[in-house]
Amino acid sequence: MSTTSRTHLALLPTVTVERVRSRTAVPVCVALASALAGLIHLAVVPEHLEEWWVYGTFFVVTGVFQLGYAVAVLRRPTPLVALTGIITNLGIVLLWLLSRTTGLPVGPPADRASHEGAHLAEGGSNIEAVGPLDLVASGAELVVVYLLVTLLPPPLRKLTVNVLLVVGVGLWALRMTGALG
Amino acid sequence: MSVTRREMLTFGVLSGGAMLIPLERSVQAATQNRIAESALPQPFTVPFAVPPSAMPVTSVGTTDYYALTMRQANATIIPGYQTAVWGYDGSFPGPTFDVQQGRETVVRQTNQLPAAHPTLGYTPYTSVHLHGSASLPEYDGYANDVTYPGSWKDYHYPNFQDARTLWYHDHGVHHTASNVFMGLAGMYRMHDALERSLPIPQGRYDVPLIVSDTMFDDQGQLLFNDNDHSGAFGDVILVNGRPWPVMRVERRKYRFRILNASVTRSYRWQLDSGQPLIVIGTDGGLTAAPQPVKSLLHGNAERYEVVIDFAKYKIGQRVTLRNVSPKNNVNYTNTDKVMAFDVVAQPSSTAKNSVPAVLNPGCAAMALTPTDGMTTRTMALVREHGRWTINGQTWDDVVASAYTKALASPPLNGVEVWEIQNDSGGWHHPLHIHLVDFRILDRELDRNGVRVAPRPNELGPKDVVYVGENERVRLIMCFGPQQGRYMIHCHNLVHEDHDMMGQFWVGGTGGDDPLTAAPPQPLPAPGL
Repeated sequence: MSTTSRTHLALLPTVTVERVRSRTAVPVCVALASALAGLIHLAVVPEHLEEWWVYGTFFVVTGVFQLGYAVAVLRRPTPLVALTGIITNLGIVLLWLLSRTTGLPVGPPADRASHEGAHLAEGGSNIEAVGPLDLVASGAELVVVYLLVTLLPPPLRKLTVNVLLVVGVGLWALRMTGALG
Repeated sequence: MSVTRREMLTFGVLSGGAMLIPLERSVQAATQNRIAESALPQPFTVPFAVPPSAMPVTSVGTTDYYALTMRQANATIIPGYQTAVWGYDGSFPGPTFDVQQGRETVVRQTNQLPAAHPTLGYTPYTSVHLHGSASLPEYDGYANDVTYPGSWKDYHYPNFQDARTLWYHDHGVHHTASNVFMGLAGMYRMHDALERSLPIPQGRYDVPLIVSDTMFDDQGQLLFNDNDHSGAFGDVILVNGRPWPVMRVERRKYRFRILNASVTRSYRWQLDSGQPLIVIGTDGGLTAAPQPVKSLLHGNAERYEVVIDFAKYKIGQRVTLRNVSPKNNVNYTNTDKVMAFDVVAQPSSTAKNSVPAVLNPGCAAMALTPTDGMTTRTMALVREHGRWTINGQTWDDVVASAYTKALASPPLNGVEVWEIQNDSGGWHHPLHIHLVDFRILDRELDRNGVRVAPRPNELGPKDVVYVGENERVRLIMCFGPQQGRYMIHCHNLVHEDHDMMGQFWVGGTGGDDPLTAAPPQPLPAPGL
């Protein structure tokens, strides 16, 4: 056996251990981040339920999904599970972004000046201010997305990164044109 | 786990877009639009002015008829800028009424405001409340009794109460703060024979001081920010719509009717000379005796009549009114300054130039005393689940109940003791009870079980009580003479809008329905 081969063989167990550690660490980190975001969403259910039952329900579903996802990604960190996590978490972040910039397209029946039962619903801005809790949740969701990308097989990973880049550039383009922010 | 440079770039671009864009918007909305301090006038450089007087359009018997139009106008508040405001007859603040006890007034309010608020975008419906008046329910400015742009309503005021300083302002449901911030407020002074008989300053020496704070954006337009429903604070102090004005005074006594018309800010007045302010009147009129105070804590919507004697100063001397801010206000560079008085001349008249030892000893509200078995109630002012509540209820609860839900149903002419509780150290609440005058019995500070007497400036009939941080205040009042539904709410108008307001029903049932007894009508209006 050549020296090179011996060297290669000597390195093999270390590389394998590192790859195993990396492959295990990523789902654990994803699970933690997903659980954090899920817990935050569940914590704010009561105030959103008071605002509108649709908001409250959305937060319950999102929180439960994120907690469930934390378990799922630990058990089966497969490309399909990863892709599901990327799409859903990115969607949640984009919805949050919308609520903090242009406002959501749907909202509760707003202020009513009810008078003889025949008055107009009062519209008004439904753009919410950014708070520390939602910053943490959105940050955790982005971490989930990025870590899940590393679990994808190379061709799918490259395609996903391209899509994410298009989304990111798109956001900045919308900001520059004033459509966002 | 390894990532490529391309992936790092992608994550950076996406993270930046997703996180920084909304953050930038929030920060911008909060601060960056504010006008530069250098564009604001220096304190005490703008001349003082009083609002115009409201004049009746006609009188019939013992009734005087007025007509006001709520409309948008441009005002020069910051020199060099035209600021869009909403005013009664376009005036910022609104015209001052001077009415006589025993003469009723009918004020036709026509809403000719624009279709939408210039920056907040809502439809500006209005409901006018004459604060301090025992009006019938349908004329009290019930929050949901709203007049939309293009409509009008006649408000009837009985004017039978003791002489006092009232004020009229908007009370439209959920938009009271922003409507008042835009300028929908003015003073209403009721006079009676007792007041006229006293040697206290009157006429041009009886001066309205409508104090408010506001903020401007970099275009000189009003900038309303309620800080996540906690309060709207300004960096500019206005007196009668003028920033930190300077008033020329004679070497004699003046009577100032100070109204805190701010949306949220509370004040503590002090003269920089150290001279006491002589309090001769509170919300419900003249006190029994004058009360000198070195500093005067003043909550939203309270009115204090104070006498300042400028005879102590030489011609050429300046005295300034300062604000030593109570806690839990947001303060800026010049919010510790209010206005200046320049002593410029000897008195041109020495009539009505004293403060007697006895003013109004016969006030009915101040004669009330608790008795055994008297009904007592608790009103707990609490923030829960992101809303401001009274005993866990909000105005939305009242609306949802078809306006039947009430925090209390005192009998007509019943006398009760109410304890207002603020068990939080994070904020104070200026609590207003419609319809009645009350007497403040005592106050428990820091929930230590020890009750102390009201402050010297509170020893008169009140309709707003300053419930400070961790305070419980007991009040006694007689519920009458009107029957029906009346509002109780925090007069930090941002708290009121979100949603610290309820109602009490005098008589439990009956009384005019505030929504149907005299509803607004679409234009055109008939002649007065």
